Amino acid sequence: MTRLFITRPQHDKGTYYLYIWSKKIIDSAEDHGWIVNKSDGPKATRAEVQSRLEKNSADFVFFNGHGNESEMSGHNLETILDESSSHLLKNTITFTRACNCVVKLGKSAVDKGCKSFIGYAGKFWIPRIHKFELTPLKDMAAKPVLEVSNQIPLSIIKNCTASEAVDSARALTIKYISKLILSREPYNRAALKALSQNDDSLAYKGNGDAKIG
Amino acid sequence: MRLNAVPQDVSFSIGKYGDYTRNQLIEEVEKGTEVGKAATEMELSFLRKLPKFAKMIE
Repeated sequence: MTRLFITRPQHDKGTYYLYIWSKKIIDSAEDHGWIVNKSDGPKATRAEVQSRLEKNSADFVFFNGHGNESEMSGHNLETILDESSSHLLKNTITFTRACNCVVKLGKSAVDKGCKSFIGYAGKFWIPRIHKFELTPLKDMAAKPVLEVSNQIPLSIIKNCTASEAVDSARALTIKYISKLILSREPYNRAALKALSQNDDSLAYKGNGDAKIG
Repeated sequence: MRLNAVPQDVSFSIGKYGDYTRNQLIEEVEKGTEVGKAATEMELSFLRKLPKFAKMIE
């Protein structure tokens, strides 16, 4: 059986958006017959995450939340994975939807056997319209940005390679920018800037030909 | 500053740095903070890519 391990902290507005938008990935994995292992909300702690990674051999690891070059965070910004524990990603494809992680954490994980580590080399921007704070799926400013980043795990689940998943996200970025740049809708200006910036920092380390199975 | 073109009821979530409204981002730019520099880079990156975007929609 193919296994997805996903973390979804939700202690602030940004992580709440990621939490809600990640549901589509869980649904897709389950539709494809995968076993989904979740560390949600306050369970996204270092102890919980590392225990689950040790016990359940995940094929695909999808971290949502905040990060920096060498650490991925979980609930209330607790570091759940860093360069000292990056060996836990051995034999996985990993995607960190967070700032900066691909730079050092990605390199460290790949050096220790992670097949491919996809993430962002810079800050990950999410534009939000205030009135949709509690209903993120209706937020037209956030939608393009989160659909583009969702494209990566959705592609991996559909058995694309890591580089194909990144290319697929870039193609969707271009499609959205082509559409939004001609729009007179003021909210689209926020989405355009974030789409462009996130695309600049999207990268992967390791084997671009890696795929599940 | 083109951030002025973003509606006032929009915020940007920027990882662990938190949430910034349009006006707060402009303040960060004026103060020269790390978030402000990131906002400036976002703006410049977008402007640099405009010719490429224009070709895409031709």
